[in-house]
Amino acid sequence: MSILEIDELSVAFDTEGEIVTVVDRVSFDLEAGETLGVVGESGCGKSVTALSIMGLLPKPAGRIQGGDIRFKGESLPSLAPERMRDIRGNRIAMIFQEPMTALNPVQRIGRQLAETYLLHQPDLDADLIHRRCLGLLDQVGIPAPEQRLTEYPHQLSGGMRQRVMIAMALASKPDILIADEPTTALDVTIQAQILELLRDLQRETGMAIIFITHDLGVIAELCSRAVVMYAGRMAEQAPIRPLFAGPLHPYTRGLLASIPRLEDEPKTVLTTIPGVVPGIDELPSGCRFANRCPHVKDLCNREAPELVVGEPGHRVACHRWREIDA
Amino acid sequence: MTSYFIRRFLLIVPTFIGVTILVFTLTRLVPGGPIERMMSEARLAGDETAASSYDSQGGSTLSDAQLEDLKAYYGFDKPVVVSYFEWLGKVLVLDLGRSTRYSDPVWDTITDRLPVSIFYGIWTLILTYGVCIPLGMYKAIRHKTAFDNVTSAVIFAGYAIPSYVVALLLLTIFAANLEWFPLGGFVGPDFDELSLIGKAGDLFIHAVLPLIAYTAGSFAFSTILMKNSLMDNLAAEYVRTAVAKGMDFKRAIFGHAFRNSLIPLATGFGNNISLILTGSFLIEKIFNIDGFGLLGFESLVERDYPVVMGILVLSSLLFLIGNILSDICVALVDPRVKFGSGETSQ
Ligand SMILES: Nc1ncnc2c1ncn2[C@@H]1O[C@H](COP(=O)(O)OP(=O)(O)OP(=O)(O)O)[C@@H](O)[C@H]1O
Ligand SMILES: [Mg+2]
Repeated sequence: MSILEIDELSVAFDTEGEIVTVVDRVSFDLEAGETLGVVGESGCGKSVTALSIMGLLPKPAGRIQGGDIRFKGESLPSLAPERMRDIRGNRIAMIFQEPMTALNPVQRIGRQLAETYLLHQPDLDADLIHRRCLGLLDQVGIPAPEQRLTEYPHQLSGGMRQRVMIAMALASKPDILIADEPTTALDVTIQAQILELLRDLQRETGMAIIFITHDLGVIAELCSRAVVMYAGRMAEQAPIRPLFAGPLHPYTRGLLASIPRLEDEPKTVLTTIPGVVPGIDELPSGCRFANRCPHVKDLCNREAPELVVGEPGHRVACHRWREIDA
Repeated sequence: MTSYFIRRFLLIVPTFIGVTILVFTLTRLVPGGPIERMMSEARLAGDETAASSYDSQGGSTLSDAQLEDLKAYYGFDKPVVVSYFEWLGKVLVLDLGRSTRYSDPVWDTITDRLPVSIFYGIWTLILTYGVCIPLGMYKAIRHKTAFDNVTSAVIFAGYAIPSYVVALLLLTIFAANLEWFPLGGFVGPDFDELSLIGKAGDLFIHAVLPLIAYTAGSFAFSTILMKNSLMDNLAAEYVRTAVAKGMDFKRAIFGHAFRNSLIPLATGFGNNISLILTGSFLIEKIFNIDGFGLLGFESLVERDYPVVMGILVLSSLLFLIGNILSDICVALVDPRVKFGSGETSQ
């Protein structure tokens, strides 16, 4: 059963009187215990989608314009704030891109870790909380946890801080962990370690993960399914194998083609997708990928394609996917 | 960190000597010293007597011997350096010399004014922080609302108008015309006969207008600093992390953003301590308060150098200690700050 259903979600920002829709009718489901990747280039609305789930859209500028988000059948946007606070950080937790700034610089690690318990399990006694915090740090692979608890964020490296963030998110054993580019700010070896950690933790705890990234390689390594977004809309959604073996959307094809491969001749020029993403204020009424698409036809410029089921479990928003695929 | 502060305290000594030696030398170079002043006073007195009796001493009524005595008394007969160290030696045993104006010990003159200045200084400090911190916080949370805009207009007006103009306006409107407050003075003439509560009330009613005049100018700086600092921190990611943990926004403000936003204010705290003793001679003059500002100004005009030096000793010490206090405050609120001993962070 789906634990989370995103149903035609639209999110708009009010920027100086002008209302721009930055996420447009995005729909996907998350099964309990699975890892779902969300991929797309910068500005396509990945973070905004994640923040909408958490009820953390910047106020008052951002708001959910339409659609619904259901957690275990309960509609999150229409929840009372107190009830939403019970879910946030407790049933659904989130980690962010920048571990350097995501922790409070003037509070000790221990205190920030304990906070989740204090918020969601206020009757736990201090001693038990302390032991649990130690256990958490141990679980995320931080050596000398006793000492780390008394340290401040600046005394930890970026990778360690991200581990602390993960520990914090794990504190209340959430059903869903949303990881918004958790490794983008880290160097490559640390990235690999963190991905490894997330994979292990998921196996141990059975939580579902929504993993946001712009790196298809990471998706391939970690996820069982992925959603590809482009300029605020969904382009394609599929299980990993079919997505990598037979992408249906021209944008996904372009993305995959732009990954350098070991089999390539050295010094082969990297394939890129020509053109640029249309600005948020100059979005076309038709397909948003039309200006960069090698297969563009009149219809594409006239009408926005709907998300349709191509193959079982594989959905795509393209007028011409059948012809291209052939 | 302790060794850093010990070093800072030791550094007070050379700085203090530098400051005082500079001013001490200046008092020697500026024309119109206390001797000349006494001579002209004596001459004035002499002119009056000269009309009736026979007297001529080349324009001066002081004998050369008397002049030498005076010079010796004030140390003008020796080189600057020598008399400076004589003066310093006396300062070390808390002897600041005698006022050339009142011939009272300088120490007494200063301690006479001390309660008044400390009273105003401490209240200015309490009011500034007590009002600016909550006001700045509220303005940050209510950014761009009517409340925010109106209070901004008021505090910037207070900042733009010189404090003596504020003082004069307050005095004319609320003391002279409306007669809600007394016209000036630290306390009323019948202060000593009042009961304890009566004394407090009397002190209060005399202090309202001067305190407003004192603080009007300093509100803008601290309030806006607090507001901007808190707004920066409210937008910070760690506040979002706290909210993502399930904390409500209000609690995140007090539990997380608040302490971080105090850091810039803590930097200025020590300097405000030294403001306690400086006062403003214009405001003191307008409200007829016998404080440090007035004392310092008058002793400068009257070339009462022992008093000038006495005030300098006190205010420079306070300023130097204030600076160290600022550092301590910053280190207290911000664990990232580590002074000296090579343990640099980040
Ligand atoms: N606070 C905001 N006010 C106005 N517009 C915003 C705000 N936050 C995001 N947007 C807009 O919403 C769109 C989607 O932003 P989002 O942060 O979701 O992108 P993203 O896919 O997460 O990109 P990245 O990979 O860079 O993190 C962008 O065009 C951005 O300009
Ligand atoms: Mg993002």
